[in-house]
Amino acid sequence: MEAFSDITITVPLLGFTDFKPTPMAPHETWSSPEILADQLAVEISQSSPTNLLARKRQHKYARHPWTMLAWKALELECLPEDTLIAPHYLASHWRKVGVVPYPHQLRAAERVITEMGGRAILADEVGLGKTIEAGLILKEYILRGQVRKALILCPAALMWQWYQELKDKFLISAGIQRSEYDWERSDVLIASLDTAKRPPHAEILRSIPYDMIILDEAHRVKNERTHNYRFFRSLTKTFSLLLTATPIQNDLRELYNLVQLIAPGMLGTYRQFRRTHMEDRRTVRHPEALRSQLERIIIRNRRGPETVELVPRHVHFFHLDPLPAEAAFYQNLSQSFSRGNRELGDPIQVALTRILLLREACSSGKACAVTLHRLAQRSTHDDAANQYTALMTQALALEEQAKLHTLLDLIRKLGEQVIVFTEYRATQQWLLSKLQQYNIVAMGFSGDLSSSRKEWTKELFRRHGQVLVSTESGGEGLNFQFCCHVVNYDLPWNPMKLEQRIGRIHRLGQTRPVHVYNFTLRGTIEEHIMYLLQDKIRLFEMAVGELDDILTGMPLKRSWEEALAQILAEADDPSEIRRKLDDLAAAFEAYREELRSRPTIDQFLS
Amino acid sequence: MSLLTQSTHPPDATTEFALAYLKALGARVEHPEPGIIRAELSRDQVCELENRPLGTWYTMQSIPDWTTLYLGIQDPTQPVDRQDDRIEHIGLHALRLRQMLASAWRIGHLSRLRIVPRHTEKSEFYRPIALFGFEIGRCCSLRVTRSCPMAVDLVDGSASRTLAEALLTLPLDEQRVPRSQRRRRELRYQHAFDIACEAIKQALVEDPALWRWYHQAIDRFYTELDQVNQYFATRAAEGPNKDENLEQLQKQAIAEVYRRFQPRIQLRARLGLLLYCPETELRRIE
Repeated sequence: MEAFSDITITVPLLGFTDFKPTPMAPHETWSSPEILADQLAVEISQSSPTNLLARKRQHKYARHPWTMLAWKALELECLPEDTLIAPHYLASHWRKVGVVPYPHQLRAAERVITEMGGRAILADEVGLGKTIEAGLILKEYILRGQVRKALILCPAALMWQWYQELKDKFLISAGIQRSEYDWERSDVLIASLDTAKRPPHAEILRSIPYDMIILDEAHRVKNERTHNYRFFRSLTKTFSLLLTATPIQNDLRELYNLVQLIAPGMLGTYRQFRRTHMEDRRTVRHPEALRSQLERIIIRNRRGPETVELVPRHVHFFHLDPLPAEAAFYQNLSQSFSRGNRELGDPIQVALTRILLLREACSSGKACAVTLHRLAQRSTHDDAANQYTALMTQALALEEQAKLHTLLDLIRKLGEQVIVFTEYRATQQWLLSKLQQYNIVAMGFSGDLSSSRKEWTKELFRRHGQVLVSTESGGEGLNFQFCCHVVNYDLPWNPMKLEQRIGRIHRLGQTRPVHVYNFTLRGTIEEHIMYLLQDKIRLFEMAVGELDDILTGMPLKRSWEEALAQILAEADDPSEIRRKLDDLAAAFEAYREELRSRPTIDQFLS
Repeated sequence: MSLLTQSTHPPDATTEFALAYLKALGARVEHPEPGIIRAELSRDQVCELENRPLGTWYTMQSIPDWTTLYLGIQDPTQPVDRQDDRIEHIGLHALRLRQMLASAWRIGHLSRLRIVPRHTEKSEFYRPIALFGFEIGRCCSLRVTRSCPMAVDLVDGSASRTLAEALLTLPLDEQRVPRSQRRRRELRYQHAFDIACEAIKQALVEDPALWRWYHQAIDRFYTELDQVNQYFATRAAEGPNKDENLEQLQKQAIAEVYRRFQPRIQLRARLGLLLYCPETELRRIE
């Protein structure tokens, strides 16, 4: 970063200071409702004259110009009935942080607030911004003073993402639940459903009247017999939003259950629903009739000209021949950790270490050297330690790489900003030094940077950088739509990670076609991975969200990565590896077909 | 005029307010380009605007001695030729404007002023009048508010909205009225507040706009309530389910419907002004 010491970038650390509208004052006391006429009740704020008179007692009278301003202010801050105020409130902030709400998101928020009475199932397709819609609705109610206490229930892995989204896009400072004391502490709290439903949390939550509850990944409460469902139903709430892209996964009853959670009785009892609307558990009897009922509670936006069409994605493959030194090292490494080598210890352990080292070797000698150094230090046998040290010396000597040369050529040819992803910190550091040697303005991005440092680096890259070398965790939650080239310098084994890398630039707000460059070394372990991802499961042609659905629901005994590692560790012969990879791909394809045959909400709600 | 009619503000109302606010705050204001206000604020002024605590270490660290704000008048949701990150929108409901509104309210929500007499006569008597700035909230699933001034004569206890509106258009100053020229206040302020509330409630009852809104809202409320009651009645008729306590679920569902859809009015006094009005002026208005 020394090269940038003379560059001043101003990144607002705090941004705007949000303010709480008066109706949200927590200590406001109201008179008991007095019936004005018919059923219309009037409540009078008892604390408001007391507050005014308190100032009178202190003889703190305002000066004349401020009096007139205050009276004018009272007129200007009236809350309208025909427009949402949140988009106006946030407009300047959104422009600063680069958020552009799509018309379908604004429409959805408006419909939920004006037509649906603040309870809805937001069932947009993946990537259309359900979180934005929910955030907008929450903000609108907060600004109108109707929501003070809100709870967001989501999977634990998404809690930080929600926190960031609410803070960055809606200026809502939410708390993240960590202990049982947090439930009462924050007005807007983000918590995991799995934690919330367990004692002692569940009991505490049931005693808190929430103004709004947002449930992300709401398909987790689709079954009325589950603890999740019953827990959510038992919460006291005024407004509620359920967010899911798949309100039906197997059975129409799932959809019925979701509606039932937020609008009991809207679809009648289940018997009535079955009689009126269901042919069988997957077929709707009168789609039109059901649609007219569901339109009062569900919002479903699909990709298309009226909503969002992501820009095209072009995938380029670089199958590279390793340089002689690289090939020799790879060969050496592979042989040293062959199954027959009993000197290195337990054969299963050796096989797994071999896989790890071969993956690292495909990335860079430096990445491999780090692991070899660690192995040498831990080793209790001198022979093994010597073997590791020799390999490490060889790895460190690898200063040139086929991938590096290709990367340099590509950067020069493109002449535009490029994000390079690698799985290894050592490779990242080595690449940064190499790129600087070649006078390319490059900067690093990794998960250990603080959030403000990440923002600073992102801004620095946006304005002055040519290449950003990022590790996997570095890019999580950040968007780089200003850039349209991504290089996968090495390949993660989990396809979701690959999708997430590409998703940093291929997302809402990207205006130019996106180019993805995948680097693989011929004759290495990467060739097998690319065979599986590209030739067999056709990863790069899949719709956004489809991969997630398959990988999370696929009935595997272990994770995808572990299954892959097992295949590569157990099989020696390349043809045997291919055969096992084919089996894995066949299981993937079968599950994909199963998912496609299931009923979807789009069959009767478009 | 109806209490609940949405007031329309002239397009430049927010700009005028922002300029007046910044001037009252003591900020240096200029117009570098048409449609843009440039304001320089000291740290104390920023603290007031953003309602930040003064004098803390954090404030001192995070706010520079002088802050320059660029306030844009054009609508930011409309496409603009020139995108300038520095410009903050101050249209209706914009964050910066709402900060100004909140700040103006914090500073100016209670005052004691005099209506400037047309003729300075020592024999002129002044009547004490309490002016309340009410916020009337119409709540069902959406909360909508309107403002309404209400004047209460602290001598005879009469309340009038038209008088309040008229008084606010007259020239005011901060000059103290000698005790000998003041009529004796017969009402306590809390009593005046109660009278004002009663007057507003009366005006609301007589307002056709209120009933139009109310009938729509109450229809929705009853539809929702019927739906819930009908559902639970059918469920009960279909046979008991030992896993569910239908009675409790019904109670909970009904409570939710009440919270979400029951129409109600909320009254809140946001501003207070003790006004001394020359009796001749009062007679002229009446």
